[in-house]
Amino acid sequence: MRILIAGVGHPNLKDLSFGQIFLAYLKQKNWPEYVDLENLSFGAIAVLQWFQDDPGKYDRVVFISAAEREGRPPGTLNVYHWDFAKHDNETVQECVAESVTGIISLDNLMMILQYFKALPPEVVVMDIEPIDSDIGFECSPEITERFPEFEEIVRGKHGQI
Amino acid sequence: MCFKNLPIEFDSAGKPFLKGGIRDPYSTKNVITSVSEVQQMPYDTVRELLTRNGYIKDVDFDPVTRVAGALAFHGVADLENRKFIETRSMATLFRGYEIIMQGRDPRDAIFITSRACGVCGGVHSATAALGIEMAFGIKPPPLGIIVRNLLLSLEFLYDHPLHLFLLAGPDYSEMIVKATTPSLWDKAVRTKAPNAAFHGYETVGDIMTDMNPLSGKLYLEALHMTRVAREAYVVIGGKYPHPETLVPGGVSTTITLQVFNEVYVRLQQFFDYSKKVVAIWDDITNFFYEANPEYKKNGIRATNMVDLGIWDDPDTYDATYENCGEWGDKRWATPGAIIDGKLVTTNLQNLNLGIEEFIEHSFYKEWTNGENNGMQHQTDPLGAPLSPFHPWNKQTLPSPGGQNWREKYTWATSPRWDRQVFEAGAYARVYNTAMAQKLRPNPFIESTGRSLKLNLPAAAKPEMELEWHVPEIWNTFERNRARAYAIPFTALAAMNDWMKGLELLKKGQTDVSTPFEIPKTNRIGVGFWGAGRGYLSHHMELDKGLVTNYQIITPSTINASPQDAWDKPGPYEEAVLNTPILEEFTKPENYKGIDLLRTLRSFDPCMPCTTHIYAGEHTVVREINTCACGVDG
Repeated sequence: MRILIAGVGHPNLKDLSFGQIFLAYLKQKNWPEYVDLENLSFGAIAVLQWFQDDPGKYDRVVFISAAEREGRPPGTLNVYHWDFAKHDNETVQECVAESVTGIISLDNLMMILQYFKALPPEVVVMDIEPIDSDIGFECSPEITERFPEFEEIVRGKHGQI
Repeated sequence: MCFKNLPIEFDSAGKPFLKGGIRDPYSTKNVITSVSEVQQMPYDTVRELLTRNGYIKDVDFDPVTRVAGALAFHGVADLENRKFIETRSMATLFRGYEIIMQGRDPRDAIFITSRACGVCGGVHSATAALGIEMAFGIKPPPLGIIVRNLLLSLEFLYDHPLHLFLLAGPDYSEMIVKATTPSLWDKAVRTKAPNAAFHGYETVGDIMTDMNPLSGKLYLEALHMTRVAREAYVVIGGKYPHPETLVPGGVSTTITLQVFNEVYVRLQQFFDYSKKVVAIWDDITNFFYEANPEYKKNGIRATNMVDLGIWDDPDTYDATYENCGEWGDKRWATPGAIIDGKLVTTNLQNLNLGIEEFIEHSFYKEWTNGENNGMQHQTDPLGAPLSPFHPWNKQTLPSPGGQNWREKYTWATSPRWDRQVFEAGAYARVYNTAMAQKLRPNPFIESTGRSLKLNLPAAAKPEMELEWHVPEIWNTFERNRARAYAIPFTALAAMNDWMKGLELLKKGQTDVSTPFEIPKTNRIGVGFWGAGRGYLSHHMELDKGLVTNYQIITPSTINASPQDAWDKPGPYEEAVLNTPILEEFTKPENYKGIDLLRTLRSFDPCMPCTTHIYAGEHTVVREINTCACGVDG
C-alpha cells in the first residue's frame, strides 16, 4: 500500500493555510517509506496532471485543508471519507475555469480529480474551519496547539500509519 | 502629430513640448474629440422607461466575490428592439498593490506585484524588473534579456489556449450554441468547415462539439497544451505562475544547452498546435458572419487599442528612458497606439506621455488638487510635458462609498490615451506589429503594413505560412481570431529568441544578470511590458532606496474601466452597448445573455467572478472566470 498525505490551500493566510502549515509540521516527523507527503497547493489542473503522471501510484490519499463553511464553528475539524458523489458537468466546468485562473480550493480540486478519475480508491479529507484567516505565516495558537492531536488522527484513526 | 486632445506639440526635431496659450492645459473641462460616438442613454430616461415599458429590463451581472477579485456588470436591455441602452462595468474589490508597495525595498515589487494575478504573475515580475532597471540605471546581459523574453512567451502560450478553449471557447460549443440559438446549431451541422484539411473537422458542428467543456477534444487538448507551456516555463523559471528567478538586471537561473533543448522540445509543439487553432477560429468566425451578418456587430467598437510592445532586442535594449523609442521599436511585438484603425505612434515616450488615469466614476479621491496642482513631475526625464493625471503623478487615495450609476460605481480607474477610450489585449500586439513594419530581419515573422505573415517551421506537420489580416471591423469575433493568431506569433517570437540564445551560448556569453547597488537618490522608472491580455505598465518613484510611489496599469483596468471625465463609456460598456441581442428566446425568463457574455469574454477579462444576469424576476447565473490583475488599487 502506498499512501499520500497532501496539503492544499492558499499560502500566508493563517488558518486558511492550514493545509500547507500542518503539512510542514508533519514533514518534520518520521514516516514509513510507503508514505509520501506533498504540498499540492497549486492549480487543480496541475495537480490533476501530477496524478495522471503516475496513475494508480497511491491506494489512499489524505487531503489536509481549510475552508470557511457556513454554520460550522471556528476550529472544527471534519475528517471524512470522500463520498464520490456525482457532480453535474456545469459545476465541474466552473471548477476547472476557476482553477486555471488562480483559485486554490479543496472542493474544486476534489471535484476535478474525481471527474477525471484521478483519485485513488480511498480518499480521506481533513478539513478545518479557520479561526483566524488574516495575513500571517502561522496558524492561530488555538489550532497550532492541536497539531499533535491532528497528527494522531492522520496516523491512527483513519490512516493506521 | 499623434495627439489630438492632449496639449502636446512636436518641434521640427520631433521633440514634444507643451502647447502654449492654454490657461489650464490638462483640465478635464477641456473639450475633446472622441472617436467613439456611443453614449449611455440618460439615467432618468432609462428609469422612466423601466417603469412604463415592459420590454425594458434590468440585466444585472451581480458579483459573487471569490478569492482573487471580481467583475460585475449592470445593463438595461430593450428586449423588444434587442439592444442594450445602459451599461456599467464594475470592479468590486480594492486590491491596493500601489499602497502595499509604499516604503518598500523596490526589489520586493518583483515578488509582491506578481501576486496581482493568479494566472500571469510572471508578467508583473518582469514589468517590475524593467521599471527597477530604469530607475537603477542597469541593464541585463544579452542572455538575461533573451531568457526573460522566453519566459514571457511561454507564459502567453499557457494563457492564450486557456482563454480560447477553456474560458471563451465554451460559448461557441455545441452545448451553448444549441441552447441559445438552435437555428444556428442547425446550420452549423450542415456547414462544411473550409479549413478541414488543417484541423480535421468536416463540419462547423463537429468543431463546436469538440469545444464542449470537459468532454470536447479541443477543450482537453488545450488543457494539455497549457501543461506543455507551463513545463517549458518551469525549466527556466523554476516555478509558475510566481517565478522567483526574475531579478533586476536579468534572471537568476543557470542556462545551459540542455535547458534550451528542454524548452525547444516543448516550444515546437506549439508550431503544430498553432496551425490547428488558427484554422478553428477562422472557421468559427466566418461561420457566424455568414450565418447571420448581424454577428459582426457583436462587441463592435472603434478600433482603438494601445500596446507597449514586448520581447526586447538584446542588442538594443539598455533600460533607459532616453532610448526607449529606439529599443521599443526593436521589440518583436511593436509598441503602438491605434486610433480609429490608424497607427498613430509606435514611440514608447509618446505612448507614455499620452496615458492618463481618471477617477470620476471610481472609488478614489482626486489627487490633483493643492500645491502645484498635485504634480510631482511636470515633465518626463526628457523634458516632455506630463499630465497631472499621468501615473508618475498619480496618488492612490481610496474612497469607498455606495454604488451610484451616475457617480461612482467601481474600483477600476479609467485609463485613457490622448483622452480616447482604448482597449488592451493580445490582439493589440498582433495589430500593432502587423501595421508598423518595424520588425528586425528574421526568418519567421513579417509585417506587411496590412497583415502579419507567420512562417511556421515543420514539426510533426509540414511548415506552413499563416497570415493574419487587419480586419475591416473590430468586434468580439476579431478579438478571438487575433488571439488565436497570437499563439503562432508568440511561438515564433520565442523561436527567434531561442535561436539568439543558442548563438550567445555558443559564444560563451552565458551571463544572465548584472550586479547592482540600490541607489539612494531620487529616481523614477517605468516598466513598459505586456500581460497575456495586453498593456501592462509599472510606474515607480524611489527615494533613499525605497519606493515612494508605485502605479500599475493592467489590461483589465483598461478594458473594465468605467465612464471617464467626459462620460465616455469604458470598452466593456461600449462594446455591450453596441451588441445586438441575437439570442433566440420566446420570453424574458428564457433569456441567457449569450451575446453579452461573448462580448465580455472576448476581451479575456481578468477577474474571477460569478455573473448573475437578472431580468425581472428571473436570474441566470453564469461565470466569467479570468485572472485577478484587473482590479485597480
